[in-house]
Amino acid sequence: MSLSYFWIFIILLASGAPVVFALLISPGLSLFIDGQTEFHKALLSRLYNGMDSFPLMAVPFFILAGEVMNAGGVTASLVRFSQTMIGHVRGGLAQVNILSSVLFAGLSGSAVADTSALGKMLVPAMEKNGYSRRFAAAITAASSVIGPIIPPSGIMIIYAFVMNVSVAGLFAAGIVPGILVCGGLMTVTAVLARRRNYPAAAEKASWDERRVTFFQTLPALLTPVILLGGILAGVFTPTEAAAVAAVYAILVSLFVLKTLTLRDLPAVFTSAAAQSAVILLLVGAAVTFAWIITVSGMAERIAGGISGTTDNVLILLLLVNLFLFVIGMFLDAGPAILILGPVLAPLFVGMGVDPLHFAIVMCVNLTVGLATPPMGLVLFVASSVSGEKPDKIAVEMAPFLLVEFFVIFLITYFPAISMTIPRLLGYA
Amino acid sequence: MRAVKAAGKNRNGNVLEKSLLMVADRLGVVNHAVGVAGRNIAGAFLVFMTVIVMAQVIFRYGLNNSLAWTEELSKTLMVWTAFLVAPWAYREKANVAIELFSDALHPRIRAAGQIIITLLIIWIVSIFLRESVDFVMRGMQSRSASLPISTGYFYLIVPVSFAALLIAAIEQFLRDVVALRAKPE
Repeated sequence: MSLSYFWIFIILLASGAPVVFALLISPGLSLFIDGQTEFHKALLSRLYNGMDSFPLMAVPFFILAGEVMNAGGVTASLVRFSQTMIGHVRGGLAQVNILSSVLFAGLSGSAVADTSALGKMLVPAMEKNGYSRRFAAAITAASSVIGPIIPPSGIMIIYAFVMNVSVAGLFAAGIVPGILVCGGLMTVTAVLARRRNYPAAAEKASWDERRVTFFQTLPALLTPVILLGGILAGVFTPTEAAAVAAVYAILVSLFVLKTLTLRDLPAVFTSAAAQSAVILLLVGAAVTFAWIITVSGMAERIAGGISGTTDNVLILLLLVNLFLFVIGMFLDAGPAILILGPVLAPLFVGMGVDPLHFAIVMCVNLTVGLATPPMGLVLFVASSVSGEKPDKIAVEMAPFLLVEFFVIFLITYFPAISMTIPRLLGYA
Repeated sequence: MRAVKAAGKNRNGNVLEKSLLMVADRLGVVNHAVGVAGRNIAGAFLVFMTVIVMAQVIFRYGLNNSLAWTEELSKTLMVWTAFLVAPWAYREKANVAIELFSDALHPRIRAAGQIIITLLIIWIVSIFLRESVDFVMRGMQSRSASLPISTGYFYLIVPVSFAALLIAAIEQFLRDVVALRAKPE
């Protein structure tokens, strides 16, 4: 079987064809050129079977939970809670933005949802408070990558599905890296706030006020406890946990917060179904594409090419991180994982890297890639909610991105950072 | 004024463009209705999926009775939502694409490239439409693992979705041709 599909794929991608169709056309056309059209039926059944998976169903349910929380004003209550906790420090609202992202990350697995929900609220508020709109958009985008690093995480579910690692283990591995990114961003923000004389957001809240907002936010804050507690204790599968989280979010929004009415629900479900369908089709198409990568022997060739450069695994990890940075500039995390995971992971696992460790490095790297120019979904969403040009936001974001790159290198070369919790829980 | 001059210069072209656009608009009405219907049904299916998976949890813990059919039914519903949304997603350009490089091209070249992409989409969708008939037929030979029907019924959505995608892609092709002939602004 020839490798023409690879070039067809690159050309289609660069010409602006939808990724999902590029993934289907290139193997189809390549088989046609080679006169092997009898394999076209195999492509179709890969497409169907690639989506036909119970673990993958966590994706629509987490998207649903996120939609409900946005529509139901849960985001607003998280921001209020963050404000009473750290709004009084210098650069208060910027720090509130980061802390809200961390809290939001425990409810949702999507950086785009985080940027759009928090950006709509916090960018105007920060601008009123004396920040440049550019900076407000930059910190929103930079901190929203915490969303898919701290569990739950849509990207990790997809990785776990394609590469057959434990979702629960991967979730557990994301906790510390997510907190590290948060700490790094807060430190940079504190330095910038001092240098640029950013204001505090409010008077320091009294412990009484903090207690009141804490209890108001408690239903939302309990979601990650139910989710992660349930998954890590083995009570639910991740898919069931996601469904429970969605139903819990609906009940809290309808009956406790009373911010959502029954009449709002059809729109929430339809929107969640449409968003997840787009991702599912991409997964199915990528499974189809992965099949031809395997059958044509492409995976071994790439692996051979990479391992031919050096046999030092530390240098190879550096190279693969740089490679993924570049990929992350142009491709979304989901498609990148679906296409490259099956090629790269076996190579490193074969060299003795723990499958879970490689998984977390790849997931965090490509998640940060969501915010890097020129192609970054998070960057575009930040631009559309703020009205600033993506390139202007990207310039402001540079110090934050540097911190995030630094965290990626830390978790690459100190496996204990990400692997300790999964090991304690028996996943690695 | 400019429109009048253009019309005088290329009357035939304009007639062709108008009729292409008219056909595209007719198809568009159908495609829009089909797309929105698919998306709404997918929303309803997500409700069923949620209910089924919750039932699975409740039966296992509350009633100590694991249901055998919930996984298969709910994941089939999920595959259906994907295929139901596909025509809408294509038409609304909701699929991810890298437009950075094509945006840098001359509008004419970009429009020509767009036509090639749409033709390739029409080609692959036709192949999948043809293969899906066979896919359903083969499915009719095997029984579902947990439900008393053939798996072929699960696959019925596949030809329906590709047929709808094909019509949407033909509409897109007509619009691409008109765009190629249009004077760049």
